[in-house]
Amino acid sequence: MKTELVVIGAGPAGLSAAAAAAERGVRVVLVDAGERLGGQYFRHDGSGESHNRDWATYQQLAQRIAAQQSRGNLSYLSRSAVWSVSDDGESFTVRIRKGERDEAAIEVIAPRLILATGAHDRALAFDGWDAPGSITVGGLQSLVKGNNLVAGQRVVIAGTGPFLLATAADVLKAGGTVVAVVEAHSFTALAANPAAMIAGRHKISQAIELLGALRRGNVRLIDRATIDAALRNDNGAVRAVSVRTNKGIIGIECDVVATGWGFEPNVELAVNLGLSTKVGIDESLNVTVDDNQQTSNDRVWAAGELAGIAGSDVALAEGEIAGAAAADSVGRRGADTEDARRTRARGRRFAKYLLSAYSIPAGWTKHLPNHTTLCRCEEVTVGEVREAIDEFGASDPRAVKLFTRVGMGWCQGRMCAANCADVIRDCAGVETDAAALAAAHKRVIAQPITLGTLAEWDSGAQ
Amino acid sequence: MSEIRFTFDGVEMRTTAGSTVAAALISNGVMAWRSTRHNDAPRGLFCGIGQCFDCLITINDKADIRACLDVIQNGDVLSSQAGVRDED
Amino acid sequence: MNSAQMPATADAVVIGAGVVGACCAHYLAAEGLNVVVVDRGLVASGTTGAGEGNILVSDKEIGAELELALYSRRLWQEIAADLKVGEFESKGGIVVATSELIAKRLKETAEFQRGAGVEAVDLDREQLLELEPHINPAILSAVLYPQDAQVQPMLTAAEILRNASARVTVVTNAEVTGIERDAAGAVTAVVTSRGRCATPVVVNAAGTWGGAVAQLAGVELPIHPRRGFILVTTPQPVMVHHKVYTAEYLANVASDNEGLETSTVVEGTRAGTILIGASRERVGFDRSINYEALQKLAAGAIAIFPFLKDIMLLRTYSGFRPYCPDHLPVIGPDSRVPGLFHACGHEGAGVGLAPASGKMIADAVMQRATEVALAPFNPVRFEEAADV
Repeated sequence: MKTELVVIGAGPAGLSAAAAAAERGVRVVLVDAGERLGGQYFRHDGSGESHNRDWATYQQLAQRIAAQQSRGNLSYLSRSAVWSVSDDGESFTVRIRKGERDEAAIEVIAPRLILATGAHDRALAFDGWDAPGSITVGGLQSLVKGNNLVAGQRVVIAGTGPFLLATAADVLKAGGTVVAVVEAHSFTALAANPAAMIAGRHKISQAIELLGALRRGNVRLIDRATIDAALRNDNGAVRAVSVRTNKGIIGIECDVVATGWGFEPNVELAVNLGLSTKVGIDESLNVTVDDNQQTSNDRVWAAGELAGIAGSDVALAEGEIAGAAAADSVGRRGADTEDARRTRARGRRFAKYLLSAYSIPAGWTKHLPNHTTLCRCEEVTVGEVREAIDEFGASDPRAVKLFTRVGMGWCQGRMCAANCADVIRDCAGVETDAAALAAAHKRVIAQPITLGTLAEWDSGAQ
Repeated sequence: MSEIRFTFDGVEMRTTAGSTVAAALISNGVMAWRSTRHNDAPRGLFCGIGQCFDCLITINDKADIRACLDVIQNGDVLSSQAGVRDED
Repeated sequence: MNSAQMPATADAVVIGAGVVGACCAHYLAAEGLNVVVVDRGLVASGTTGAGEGNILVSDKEIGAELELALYSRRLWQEIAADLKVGEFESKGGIVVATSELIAKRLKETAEFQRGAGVEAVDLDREQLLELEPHINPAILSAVLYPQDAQVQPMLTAAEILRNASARVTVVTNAEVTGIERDAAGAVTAVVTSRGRCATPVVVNAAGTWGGAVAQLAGVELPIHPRRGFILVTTPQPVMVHHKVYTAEYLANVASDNEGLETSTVVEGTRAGTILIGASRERVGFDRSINYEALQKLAAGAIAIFPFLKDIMLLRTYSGFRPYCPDHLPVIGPDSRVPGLFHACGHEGAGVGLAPASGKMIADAVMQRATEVALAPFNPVRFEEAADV
């Protein structure tokens, strides 16, 4: 099918971008891999109710989307994972695999594109992180939000950042038991920073409220501590974790350990399109954007986490700005975006404080025993990666990949490329720059598709 | 919400309609449904949002479906997936 | 083998740390020479790292290249004995014919190849299905080539360099910016972004970029890139046991067609993935994706192995084969520049032909006769042809 604008991703940024563009009279196709609108942040079970504290915001957005659908300005493709986007200089061809068990092929062609592909948890490797019961914080939360289900009887949540607190509170609300939250830094790091207070008083007081709720829920709050290892039962699943604290190692029994170290933007489509990228202050790869969220390609805008991790408020604002700018580029104008720009400026300022206060500890891979799995898919250990660096001079993630198969498996490095770059830094002292990081995140086939579907792909389909 | 029935490795199970396959299994206390190719290590859900591919499962004889994305259907036959599947 | 500092002098400098450069260094070091290998990237980060690691005799035309391939295959056997991680695998190749005409041509080719010393076994349909149970039963005939083998190319190149390390210094991330010559025109030094190394011998093993390196020494070498894509499936149980390819490949390797050409090559790997090739395009160093090529590769593979229809494509990668106008590599001394030797332009056969290329370079540097005549691979042959 042909349209004027394709928006990829229906989370906060994609929803506001699609709505803003369609409201200005642009014909939009909104493409998203999920079952329902909302992305990860607004994930919901379809019942129309949610514990999400921003639920009213979602409902407003969903109404705006519905209004544009009924006007014929917007079509929404759910369960539609984009496996490739190409650019012939005039229009983009967006190739979609629709469905998981029942795969169908769709192609959308448009002269303009907004990327709002979001992010996933940054997961640091530790001994036992590949045991059943070890999941990401986002994974734990997605079950609560999407299925009203708590994984495990005794949950430990660990890593860094306020997302740990929010998820712990969600688990309690859903009737689960959180035995401990383990934070690498201080739970109240930002409250002590006046500049951060000015930029994000509301967010900081939210975190303090959450801490209170967790204390009342008998959750053990351990700060300046990290998970050292997950211990396994006879089935190989998690039975406990050992936690490294200032005062030594402590053991906590649990059947689920959820870890999260901030977020990693989903940049593969942007990288495949050759857009400029930079390394953000959280060391993740970010798409470079200008004041109007325009990327280095003047027909592509990026909104939300892939332009730099900054949370849902900023994502919503960036979506409004990107949608308006895309409309403006074809001469369709609407209300100004001054409010959104102010929200974005304030939110980005706060994100800077947040990401610096809740950073990934320097040299974290030095503690990893050699037998720790680094690449989950290909089961390559940290020791094998260190050997490739020492023995073969592999000093960038691509070389390590080709020597050891790290990142060659099913996830194509989504879970391990950043960890691999950190092992290289800690072993060889070589920092992975934006170009090498982009090479590690180049996934030409962004989603697996069957060879049969590819072979029969009707490239003339419009 | 209505309930649906499915089997996992021959065991009858029930879950809420609309659940993902992963949620259906976890709500029945199943945490692992795949073993890896090299070390035969058990795996289940990890990222939960379609990025890590650790939760691959065989549904109605079709292999390599992400349990965290796919929605379970009444009567589904789920089978744990060995990393090195036997050649037929 | 972390990247060393640039030594001030060397007996020989090899430009390019791909598998050909590694083999040149290996045989030069065996002569007692102190060798410096420089690469603008990391070890095997060019075409070596973008290929399948093929060591083939089956796809060679009768003549100089086949002779070279058979010689190289013998040398690989020796080198492989020292490999711990490079995984030399004698998996064998099967060439299949999908039409009566191709079947006839394949039989004739195999007959000629046997005469030249290649092991080639004609297979009937039953024998073929025994060796490859999942192959399309409509395939008419096939030939098994037991000598066809494979290595993991990057690990192998790295390991050859590591094993030779007593006399070999590898300097990575060092781009060659100049080749210095004396008044008589002979090479005296190699200048790189990481320093200068004085040397009487320079070996150009820069693969697809060999033409650019030759220019730094003031000579032309007509080596051009020919892009190829490889499809990689998700890991599977072993379903494809050999390297299986269509006989049309024979026609394509030597083709002069400008546009997209595809033939079908399917092989299983120890990692469980299935690799699908091969496409050929002359598009310079363009790294963009040609979806038509991917589509044709998928369709071709399904025609040979129908089960692949339901197997998922996980990733794809591309590389640039270095080719010369006559599709033969450039190996030997450059008579225009004393001290300059070339070992590049191997098209898709660099891994297979690397040991023979390295050995013959060492023989030439030591001014000894080579096992296979160098004349067909003479670097100045194009100039002479132009003069006629």
